[in-house]
Amino acid sequence: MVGVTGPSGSGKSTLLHLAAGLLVPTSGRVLWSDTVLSTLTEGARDAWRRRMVGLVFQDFHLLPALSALDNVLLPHRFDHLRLPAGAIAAAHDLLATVGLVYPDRRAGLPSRGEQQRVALARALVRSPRILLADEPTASLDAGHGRAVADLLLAFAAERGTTTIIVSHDPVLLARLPRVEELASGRIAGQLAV
Amino acid sequence: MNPWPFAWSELRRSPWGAGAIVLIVALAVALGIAVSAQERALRQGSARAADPFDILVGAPGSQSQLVLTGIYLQPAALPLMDSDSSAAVTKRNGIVWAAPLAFGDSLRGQPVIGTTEAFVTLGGRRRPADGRLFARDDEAVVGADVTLAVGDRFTPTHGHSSSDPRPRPFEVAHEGHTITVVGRLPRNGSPFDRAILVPIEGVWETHGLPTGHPEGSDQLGPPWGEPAGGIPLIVVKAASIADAYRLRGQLRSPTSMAFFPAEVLVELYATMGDVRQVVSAMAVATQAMVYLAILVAVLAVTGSRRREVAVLRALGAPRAYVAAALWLGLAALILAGTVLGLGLGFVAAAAASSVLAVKLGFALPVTLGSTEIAAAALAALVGLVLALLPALVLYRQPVGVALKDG
Repeated sequence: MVGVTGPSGSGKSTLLHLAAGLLVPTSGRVLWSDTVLSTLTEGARDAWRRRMVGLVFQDFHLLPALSALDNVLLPHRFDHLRLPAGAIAAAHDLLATVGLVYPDRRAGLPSRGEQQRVALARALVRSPRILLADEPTASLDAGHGRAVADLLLAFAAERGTTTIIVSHDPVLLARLPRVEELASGRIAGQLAV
Repeated sequence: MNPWPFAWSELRRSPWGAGAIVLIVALAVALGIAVSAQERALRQGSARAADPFDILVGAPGSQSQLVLTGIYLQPAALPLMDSDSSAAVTKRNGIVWAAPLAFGDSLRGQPVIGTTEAFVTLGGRRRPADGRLFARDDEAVVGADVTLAVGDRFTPTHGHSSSDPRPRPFEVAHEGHTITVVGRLPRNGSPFDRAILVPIEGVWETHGLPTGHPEGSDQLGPPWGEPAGGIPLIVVKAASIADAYRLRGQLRSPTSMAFFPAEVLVELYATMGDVRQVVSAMAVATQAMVYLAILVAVLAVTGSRRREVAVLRALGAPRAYVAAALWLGLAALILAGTVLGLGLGFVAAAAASSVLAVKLGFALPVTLGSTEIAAAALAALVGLVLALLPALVLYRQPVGVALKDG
């Protein structure tokens, strides 16, 4: 579990995109275990990301016209015409775990805190080995921020998921075992926690 | 993959825009459908009205005028045949029935037509739906839409007036000639539904002409002796197609012309077909412009969707998923518009038909035929192919950049 912080423009988001295989480095390699991500084709990187990575964004990026449940199920639609058996039940369980009471409500309707919970459930629905979060608490108030952080960290700890969290939130960073500080695209040092 | 949830969500984001696309596609499709269906309805309706009229025989003149007046009952003064020519008609072989039609009088815009029993019964194939045939020269059988009931009495007016029921200043009633309605014919969707049929002897007598029968005789129908009134038109039903062609030749003389109504209608249809082609071309051009406008509009908003697309890709969606979702959304709108357009076109054609039916006097049956379905299917297909363009634009969009902008 690693936190990444640093001033704007220091390359935090780029690092996250490289880690997710959304960008390919102009030089050097991106390695996850035995997979050399940077040499895969775009289609192969998409497939790898579907299988391995869950992403959480600062602004949730839910589909507002779909229900919370359908948002969570969306990643399944990328490679299934019909939902796999048990997917709906699993999604319900996840939404219950993140504390969402009305899974059939349109995702655009609930509070920002609830939207981020839905987004978190969506990131976790395919049981990713890697969880990447870009400022997951930045647009939430302190109470909701803490609740979302609780869920994220609990999940990562419980399943042993590799987790990279880009954040400016000192409260969140303080809860991470290790925080790297970026400056101008380089690791400037480990932050004492 | 199943791109529909994302496509549906995008449509729900802009319901007005989606509705507008459906509507303009529907209107463009409806225009083409309505024109095509309407033209066929006009053709079928007019051909059906001409059905009982195998051969028309009249004094030399305009064939078109004889068809317009004789079959479609458009008022006009027709030249009369001399009695030798008209008497010669019935003597030919191969005739199932032949009947004269004499025009000139009307009642509140409904033509009063002198004829014989053969025409009223179409040679014995038709009976009044109500009442009986005329048996005296002051009795009448009316068409289904005539505003008279069996048992009503009326005095015909000289000349044709419009359908305006109020009397005209120069209309002259045939005072002293009262006619009683004794029967009503079943509806057959032709202008004769509005006609009042009387024995031709009655028409002659009303106009002070000899009836061709001895004074005091109550005989109706042929043969008429000398002297008798003139006849503008004789309808001939031939026994067979061969007879029809032979009779058409035999009945042509310096004092009479004989022809198939279809000869005139075919010319009319050719003109109608030309008009339809022009309007159809305009409809196709309209559809093309509609698609072009939609394409421009969709491409313009495609830019604003970069973020949604980038997020989808970040969540692991393949390029093809995103492109398929955009295409599917557009395709759904185009298909919905096409189906709606088929319905709208049918309704528009049916509405035009009911207006035209009142004006023309014959029924115009509107149907959606394979021509219309094929035209709509082709339009939809072109739309579905064009919808690939914005999908391709999204497909080629690099994902990382868009996400960073967000």
